[in-house]
Amino acid sequence: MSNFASSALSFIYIGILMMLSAELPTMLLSLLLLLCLWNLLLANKGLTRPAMLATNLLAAALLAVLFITVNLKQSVLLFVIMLLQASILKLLQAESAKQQQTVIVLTFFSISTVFLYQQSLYSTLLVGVFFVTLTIALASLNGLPTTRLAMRKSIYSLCIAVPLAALMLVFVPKMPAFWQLPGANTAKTGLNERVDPFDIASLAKSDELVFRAEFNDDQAAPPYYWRAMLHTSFDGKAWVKEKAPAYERQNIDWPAYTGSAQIYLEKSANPWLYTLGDGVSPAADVRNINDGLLLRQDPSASNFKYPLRYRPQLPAALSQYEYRYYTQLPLQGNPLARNLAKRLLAKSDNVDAFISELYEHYRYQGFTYTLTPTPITGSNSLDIFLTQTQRGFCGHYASVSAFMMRSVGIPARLVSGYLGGENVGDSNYLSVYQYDAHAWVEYHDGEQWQRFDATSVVAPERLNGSLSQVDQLQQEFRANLDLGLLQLSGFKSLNWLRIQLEKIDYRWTKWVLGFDQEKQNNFLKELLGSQFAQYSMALVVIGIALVLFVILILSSRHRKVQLTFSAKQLAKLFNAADNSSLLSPEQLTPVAQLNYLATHTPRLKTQMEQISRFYIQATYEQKPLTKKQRSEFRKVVNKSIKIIG
Amino acid sequence: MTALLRKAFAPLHHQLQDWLLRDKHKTTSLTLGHSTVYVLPSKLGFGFILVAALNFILAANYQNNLVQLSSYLMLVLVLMSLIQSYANIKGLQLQFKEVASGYANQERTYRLSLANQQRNSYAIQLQWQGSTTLVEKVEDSSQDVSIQGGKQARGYYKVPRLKVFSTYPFGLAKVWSYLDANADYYVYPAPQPHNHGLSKQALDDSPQQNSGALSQSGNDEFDGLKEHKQLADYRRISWKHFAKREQLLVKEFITEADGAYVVDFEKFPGDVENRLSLMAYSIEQAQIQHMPIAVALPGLILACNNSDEHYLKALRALALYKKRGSHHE
Repeated sequence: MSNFASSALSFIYIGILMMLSAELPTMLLSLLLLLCLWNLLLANKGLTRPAMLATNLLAAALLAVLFITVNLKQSVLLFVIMLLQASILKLLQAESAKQQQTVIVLTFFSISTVFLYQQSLYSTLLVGVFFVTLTIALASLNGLPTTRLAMRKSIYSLCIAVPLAALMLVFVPKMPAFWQLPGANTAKTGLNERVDPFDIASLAKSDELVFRAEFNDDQAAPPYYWRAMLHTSFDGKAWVKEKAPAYERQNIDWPAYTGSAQIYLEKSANPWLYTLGDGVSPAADVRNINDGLLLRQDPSASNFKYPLRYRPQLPAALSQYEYRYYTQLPLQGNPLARNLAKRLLAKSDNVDAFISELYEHYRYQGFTYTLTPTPITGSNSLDIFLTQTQRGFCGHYASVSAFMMRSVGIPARLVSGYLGGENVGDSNYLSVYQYDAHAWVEYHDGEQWQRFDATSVVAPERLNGSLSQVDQLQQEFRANLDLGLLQLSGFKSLNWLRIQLEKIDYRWTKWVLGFDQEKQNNFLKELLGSQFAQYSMALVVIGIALVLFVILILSSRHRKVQLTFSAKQLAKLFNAADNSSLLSPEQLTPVAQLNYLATHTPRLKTQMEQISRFYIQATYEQKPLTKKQRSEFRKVVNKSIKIIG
Repeated sequence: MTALLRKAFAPLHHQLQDWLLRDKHKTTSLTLGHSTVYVLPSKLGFGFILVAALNFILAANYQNNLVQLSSYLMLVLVLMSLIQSYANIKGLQLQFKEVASGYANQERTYRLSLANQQRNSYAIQLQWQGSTTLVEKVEDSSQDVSIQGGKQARGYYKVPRLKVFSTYPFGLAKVWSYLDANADYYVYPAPQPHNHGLSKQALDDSPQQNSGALSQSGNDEFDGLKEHKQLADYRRISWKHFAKREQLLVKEFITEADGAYVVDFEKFPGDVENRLSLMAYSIEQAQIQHMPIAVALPGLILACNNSDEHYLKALRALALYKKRGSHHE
């Protein structure tokens, strides 16, 4: 029995480690996996467990590896890994049922830490399986005669407990955070504060969801340029994010922001949020900063949602200082790009004309869009791209264009964010994935900031929707994607499946993960009326007490008397006979009763004799009825019942 | 520290428990129901609740609904465990059988039978005298169970309370009850093998009886007896000297156990316990051989006899010697 628990725990920890594999350093991950496998071996081969000293040394070694491989600033990750290490080592030592029970209880905490990093429906289902397995393991360590019974009891208990817990989640008033805790860092964003596309040979893209946008109006139309951050200085090689701290916007003219959307952000440790054009948010934990961007007050690991108000035009004014700031370039480098810009400017007499010349240049000079560009190393990378390779993705075009604009005195900056998003099956929301990451340019034409995106001429389809939907690039796109359902989107049925799963996940995110204090308040007020909403806690307590009481009553019922097959058949027959008042008024034995029926109701005579024979055989002669006899028995009884009534 | 506290409060604890339990459990047969069963989360259950609380704090601070759900789920599981534990043990019938008397070097065995007419009970644990026995399944037909207790010093004991408990199904809740059977048993001194002879203590030898005893011989035990006979002759000489010291005894002895082999406290060496052990051995051997013996303890003489009751009486006398009146709990 204890074997089952120990093996189950090994598998659970392997599962947890795999789910957190993206967060853990490879070395630590493989070490911990090895320990789990070791324990699996110990549990099933009955080998001796390592001595206390050995385990302590192992613990020290693991701690050393942990502190070498994990950044100390990632306090939550450190904590999670230490918890996992301690639990796995404890598991390795646990010999007796009592020790294993302790590990199981600890594991109920370990599985919760997975939710700090993953909250998708599928992860939740997986953790749910862990939960069930843990309860089975607990029961199996508790002297139950069979693991089967342990399973039955666990599943029965959870079938009742899960709805109750869900009820509590809905009705028990939510608590605000007690303490400010550090967030669980995740560095998986497709965006980077430094845009340096030139030494990338292949843009590996992830199909991880970044956020979903639910539009509350119908004025939104593609292309959707989701702005996240600005890169305002060029260091000779890459465009980097502004170092100066952002300042809070004052006196926001709310009515001017006519667009409205609700953004459901997947968990992310990044401070930046996403907006269409110039955006603001009334949410308290969102900072509205200059240039129409949004920052998150306290980036932590949890999922996050915020209302967004937006308008297409960007803040316009440009001070003298800002003009200088947005036209700064290193004095040296990339002479060909500077020359080309000068030539293009010479052909045109104003900013607009220059921009069209630049578009024309990209369109007709053999530039192509690719996710697998030729890597360019060394200095003057912009020149090499412009004149030699001419193949690149958004980052290449944006970098070169902004550089050329600045070189001729047009204020310009790089914007990174996401382009498009997938509109799944006519829903009113967009799903934006990591592979939709995009970079483009904003330039100031003297009156206001304008968008410049060379992708619109090099790969125009890219503007209308997600990268996954651009036919021309699909082959290349799939080749660059980690294996996933999206990669198989060429198959119609699989694509359909992908879309259905995506829809389910959307609802999951919106209704389960996004069920916050505000939503709860609204829900309770709507359900109970505003004056009774405060009593929801009492409602829960009463509700749970009631359910538990019912369970108590139900489980206190006496054992059912198991009727044999023939007794059941007879009961059926006598019931029917009783209804037609054919039964003897006296208390008789079953056989005597059958005789009574045979003599007093002649039309039943043959059947009663037959039934009597069967009954005597099964009950008194200890000869079990064969299958054939059983069905005959049943037939005769049914026939008799028909005759009776 | 806690041990010290526990020791200090032990009498109070006992009194409190007695008062709480009243006389509900003072019976030899008990069917467990709501008035005789006690339910609380187990130690593991409290640990489980602690982890649930940790999860709750984690959930509140990260505003994480899934962790919150897991925390609530754990809490509900504990509550359900309380109910299921109780429902599992309800209707369990305990029928005290016996705790057999025996020697001090043997372990006591508590025998009882279990049944449950209402439903199957699983994972029932019986705790008695510090040792625990697990019964995996109790059905409607009654089932005999014996629990091996520890060894005890000689004496007369009331049967200590039996604790019946279960942590079914998950080990998170503990239900328990007691069976305080009103029965007693004796623990006889541990027999200690020896070669000291039994003296035939009488003023005149009666050869018939002697040969009668010897005629049953034919094994090792009675080789010893022959030796004793020689010793007996020797002892007869010093008899008066002995009689002066224990006058009363001698008189009784002479009148009641005339001409019998006597297992005599005074004839054995060593301290009281040692002598009792040696006597117990002699009585045990005599019982095996159905040899009539008389037993002499300071202040008590049992006349020569070879009935089973007689041996029993003798052993009880040894068990109680200088312990009379002091019942062990």
